[in-house]
Amino acid sequence: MTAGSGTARKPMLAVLPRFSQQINRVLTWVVVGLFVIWVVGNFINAPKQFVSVFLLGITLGCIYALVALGYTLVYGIIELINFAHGDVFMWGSMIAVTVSSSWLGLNGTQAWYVTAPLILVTIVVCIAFCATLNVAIERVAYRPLRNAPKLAPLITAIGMSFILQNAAALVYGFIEQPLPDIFPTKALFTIGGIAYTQKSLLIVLITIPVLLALTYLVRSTRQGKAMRAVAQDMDASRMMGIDVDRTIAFTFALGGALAGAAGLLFVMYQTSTRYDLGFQLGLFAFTAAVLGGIGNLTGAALGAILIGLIQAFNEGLSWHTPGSSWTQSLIFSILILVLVFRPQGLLGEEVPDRA
Amino acid sequence: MRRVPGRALWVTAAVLVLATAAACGSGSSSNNNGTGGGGGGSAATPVNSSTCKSVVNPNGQLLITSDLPLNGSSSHQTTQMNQAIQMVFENAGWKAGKYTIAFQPCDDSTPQAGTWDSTTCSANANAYAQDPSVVANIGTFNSGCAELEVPVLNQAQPGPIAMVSPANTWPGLTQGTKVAAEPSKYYPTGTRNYARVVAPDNFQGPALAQTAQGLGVKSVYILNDKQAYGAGVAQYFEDAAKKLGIKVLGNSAYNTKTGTNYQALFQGIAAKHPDAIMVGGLICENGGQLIKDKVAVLGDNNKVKLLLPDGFTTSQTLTDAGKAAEGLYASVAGVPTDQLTGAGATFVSDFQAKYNPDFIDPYTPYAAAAAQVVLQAIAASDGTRASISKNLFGAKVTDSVLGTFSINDAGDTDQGSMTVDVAKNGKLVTYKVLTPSANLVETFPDQ
Repeated sequence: MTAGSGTARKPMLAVLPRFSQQINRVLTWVVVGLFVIWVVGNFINAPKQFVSVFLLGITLGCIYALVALGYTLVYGIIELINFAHGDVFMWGSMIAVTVSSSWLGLNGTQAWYVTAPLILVTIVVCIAFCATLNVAIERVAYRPLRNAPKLAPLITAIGMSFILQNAAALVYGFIEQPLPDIFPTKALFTIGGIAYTQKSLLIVLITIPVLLALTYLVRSTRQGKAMRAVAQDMDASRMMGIDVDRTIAFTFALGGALAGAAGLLFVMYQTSTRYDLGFQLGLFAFTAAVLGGIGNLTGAALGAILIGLIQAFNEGLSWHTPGSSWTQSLIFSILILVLVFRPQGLLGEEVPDRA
Repeated sequence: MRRVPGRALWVTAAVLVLATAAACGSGSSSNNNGTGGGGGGSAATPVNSSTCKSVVNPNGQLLITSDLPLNGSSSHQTTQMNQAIQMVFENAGWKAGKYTIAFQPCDDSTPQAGTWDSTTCSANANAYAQDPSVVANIGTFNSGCAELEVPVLNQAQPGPIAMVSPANTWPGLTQGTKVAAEPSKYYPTGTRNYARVVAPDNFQGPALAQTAQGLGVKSVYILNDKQAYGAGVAQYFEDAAKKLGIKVLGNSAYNTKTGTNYQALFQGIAAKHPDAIMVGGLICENGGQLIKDKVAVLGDNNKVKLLLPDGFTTSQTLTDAGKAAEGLYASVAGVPTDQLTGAGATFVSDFQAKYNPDFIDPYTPYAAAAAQVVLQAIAASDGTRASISKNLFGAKVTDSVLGTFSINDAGDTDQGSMTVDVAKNGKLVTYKVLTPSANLVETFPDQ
């Protein structure tokens, strides 16, 4: 870790001659320009369809955002990509199915005043479970390796990911875990014959306050200050009397809690989950975090909404869209392009508040 | 420490790629050389592979294996298929003509994949080829797996191992298709060793298209999973639908990964206003979610019809899709279990009495028929692999579980009947049984 932030960010490919920076900038604008043309072209082509697909993309993006924040929080504080995070999210969805459907007997036919408090109970259980799980993972798999080379905890994280996946397969089996529609599915309005449902709105309405609360916590509270201090310099923080281990554990708890909430929202929205859910979704969320500038909270949320939109546009619109089977390729191409041309991400350069 | 997170991210991305590869291709079991034994009057040598279960009737001289995906959402079906095979052998007194037989079920899937796995399929086929006791293999369930196993068994020494599939529906395994070098690429020695007891997808596609026409469908949108089976049956459906005057609005691939949401996909399709959706794919490829999202966006299956091939024709589809399954149409080769007569009806009642399943899956009687074909070929042979393979072809099987049928020189059955089921009140019930019109069944010369 280099001390101080006075040194300017060096572009990742600093070995290339200086003019490559200009090429870099031009290419970035070309890519952004093409993206804008693509979006506007699709809007003109089918405006109603565009709006309904846009709303869907926002909903998907909100779920990705909650997962992406977990990646970014942890990266911000100990510079580790916690690969097990997608699987903590998967466990959140599994626990949500067990608690809401098997324990509390929710099946979508009860009145809202019965359902709402029981969903709240489920949320609390999911959040508590995933926060505990994430803290336990940190304690067992990452803390002993805190001073080891960067690659060691990264490999451990992948190991944890497989352990969590196989544990879920052991408990729940390799088949899908279906859940009845518990969130209200009534249409709020329709655009071009496509209904925008209450549950889509609910996802957005739950995600936004969570994001705001998280930002407040990191920016304006004592605990948040401690997190930022630990991120900047662990030794100096320790000298200032900050309990570094506790602060890191708190960050993992926060990330786990977000994953738990995301798992619940996902399974309530999608109505099924499986032991390997964390894989593709975790990678999408990771890409979102990198796209926004990893370590940057606002960036992760923005990146996630963008990924959600790109996915929805690619699958739901018809003007120059490759289609559903290309979504993964498209999103990982974005990951590679960002890593090559803009490793600091979209908002990376304006990051005074890396948590 | 506000550094650009360059190197760490690159390492991460590289590890990611490795992790992806590991997740996709894991779980293969290495096969070992089957040693000695076999032949003569001695007991069969078990196949030396961790994917194979223990041998039933281990004192038999000739070993028959089964090769089915025992993990994942087809396991309800494949477990019954092994029970059916074993029941046929038991009823035959573990004898085929003058030879005694042994049976060893093997698994071509991995728990991680939840479906057939290409590495496991290849490893299994090599393990059979290297075990001189193995004379016949009943399988596979998935055509993609058969494409890997048939050539290996074809080149086995001494002589090709006979293979009879109860469920492979990809036409190219036995006959010419639009794909180059089919079917000759599966038979490197030039001698055939593979037969099947189900009608292939060039019957299934037209059967679904005729069903659609009967339902008054004027336009259809097709989705496929890009695999040999899914994309293949989708293409046969498309060709037949066009001949019947149904407008095909598109045929595109979908992402089969767990956690994928298909609402955007169906919103795009909704703009084209199709009367029906046809999906060439499998239930274990996130099929439940696909059906739920179809209903969420396009409306229930009475409004916009949903036509599915036999990759979805299992009770698992109803579990995974829940209420959204109501009203879907799903086809399967052959005659429904409750409409079998004679030996077939006896088989069904015996099977029900012996194993007491909640529901007899559609391919269970076909597994029994495949076992009967193998028994007959062994009985007519001189006990060598080559002779058993040869006796599969031109065989007339009388009084089988499926009635009387014959296997032609290509290895196909002369039974072309297809069943279309409809999901009603949480159950798949027979909608109709039909044999597609001959002019709709596409055939291509062998290549």
